[in-house]
Amino acid sequence: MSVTDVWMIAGGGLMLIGLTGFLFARHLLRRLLAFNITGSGALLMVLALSGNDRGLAPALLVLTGMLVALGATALGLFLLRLWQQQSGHTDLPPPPDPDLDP
Amino acid sequence: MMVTGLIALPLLAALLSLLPRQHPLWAPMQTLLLVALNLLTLALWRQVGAQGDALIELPLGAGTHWLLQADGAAMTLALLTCWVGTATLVHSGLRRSPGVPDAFWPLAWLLLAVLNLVWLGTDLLTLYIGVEVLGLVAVAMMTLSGKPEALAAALRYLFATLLGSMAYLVGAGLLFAEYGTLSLPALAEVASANAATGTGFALMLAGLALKAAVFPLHGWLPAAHANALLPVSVLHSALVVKASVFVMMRHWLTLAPPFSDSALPLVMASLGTLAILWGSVLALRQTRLKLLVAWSTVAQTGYLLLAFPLLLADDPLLRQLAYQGLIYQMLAHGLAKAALFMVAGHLITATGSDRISQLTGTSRHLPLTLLTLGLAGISLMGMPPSAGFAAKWLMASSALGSGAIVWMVVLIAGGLLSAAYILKLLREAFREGPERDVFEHPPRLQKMSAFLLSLLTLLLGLSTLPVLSLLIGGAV
Repeated sequence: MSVTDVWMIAGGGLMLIGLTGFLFARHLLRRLLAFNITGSGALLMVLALSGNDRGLAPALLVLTGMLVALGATALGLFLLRLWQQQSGHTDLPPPPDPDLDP
Repeated sequence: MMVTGLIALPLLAALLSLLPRQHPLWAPMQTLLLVALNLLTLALWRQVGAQGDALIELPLGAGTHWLLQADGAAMTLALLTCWVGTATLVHSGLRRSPGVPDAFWPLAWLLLAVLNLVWLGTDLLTLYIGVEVLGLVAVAMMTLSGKPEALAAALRYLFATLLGSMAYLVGAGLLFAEYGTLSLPALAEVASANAATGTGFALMLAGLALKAAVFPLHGWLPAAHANALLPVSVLHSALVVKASVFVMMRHWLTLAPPFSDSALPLVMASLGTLAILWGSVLALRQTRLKLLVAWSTVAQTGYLLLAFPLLLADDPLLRQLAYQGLIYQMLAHGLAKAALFMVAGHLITATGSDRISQLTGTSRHLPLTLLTLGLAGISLMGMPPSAGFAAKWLMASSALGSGAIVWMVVLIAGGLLSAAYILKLLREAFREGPERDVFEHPPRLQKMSAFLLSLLTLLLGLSTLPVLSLLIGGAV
């Protein structure tokens, strides 16, 4: 097993853990954290896939991914605090039924 | 080099929009910026029309370049961005804007800048940055209405867009590992049908489909559009959803040819068909105006998807027709949907209600608004003479050339269904009722911005050549 394989397995495992949380957690903070774990796994996989001597491009891709995750987490936290203050809930209500007439 | 102005100018405008709104020079400044954007976009569009596609190399240092590509497709979408952006900002009231928070302006300008970046991008990194920033800005804009429903919809949209970007990132990583490049033109030359390419391509398509609300991943869209602030719904349905489909198209033209014998084209066509049928039927069943318009977006995105398999036809002429039809449909739907959302806003202002059943009697009091609804509706139905008809005609010609008769059945069924939900609105509006005689009138500037957009769908249906001549040779 090469070093790349170890990183790939680690990244894939993290993604799997994160996605499980993302799909099954109800609390919005948990879902946001699960997304962060998935993102870290995805970035690890991209780094492992692209190796370490292939120019600037993969590094830029991963850097962008990290910045996006940071921005998205900040925005998500802001929104979920606002949502909690306004509705008193920490999870989302079931999606509205398209045929329902509220 | 002027092409970079398409990104730089809206960015500058976003910064300037941070100045306090009470300043007397605020409205003249916005007007000046909008005029500048219109002149710049039109000049560049004409330049590309006269001199052909332009490739812009920006040196990044260390011998590397950042490539932007101003081709016919990019310039057509830049024109759409400019028109819809201008109409929306004017509609929001440059001088006074009750109900539109100050934060809308810098965010809207930022959105326009990122959209132009997406149209011009030629590599996976630029496109990734583009769709990511677009997603985050769009989420932030959706919360501006301050309604709790909008917050829930924005959070749901945030999760959808994040999941989509993750899939895209892993897909891009897979492609880079396989070919050592992120540039689309370079990938087009080397890509072959192997497992890694297929997986990467499928991940990227799925991620973008989630962001574009492609059936069956459209769940987040109706609530988000129905609860957002009106100008935000306009920008989102006309432009932001298009951006993801546009990026899908760029990837498709690069990576799909090796897979033309696989099930992929059939999957895209089926999803497109289901989107048209499901979206239209649900639009027809809505009792609230904004929800009807939102479901219509799900249906109209289906037409775009339906053109994807046609882009892989054996005959270059048929590919060409499909490509022109696809871009023209983006242009036509962008203009018509923006006009329709504005009209929905005006009717809500007029009747004080979001209910379609409350439209009774509006036709006598808001003739211009109803004319706008009619013109935009004709384009959405795909009836002549309209840009929507031209787009569907081009796609139908391509489909018939490849012998895809089923395509025609879907097209006709979709057209009839869209006619049904548009006529449902018109029927209610033209019904004479004794109940009420007093309607609130939206400002004239708002009515005019919506009307001009719908007029453009008519003009672009009467004269298609100026845009179509830019799109020759794009998919060959």
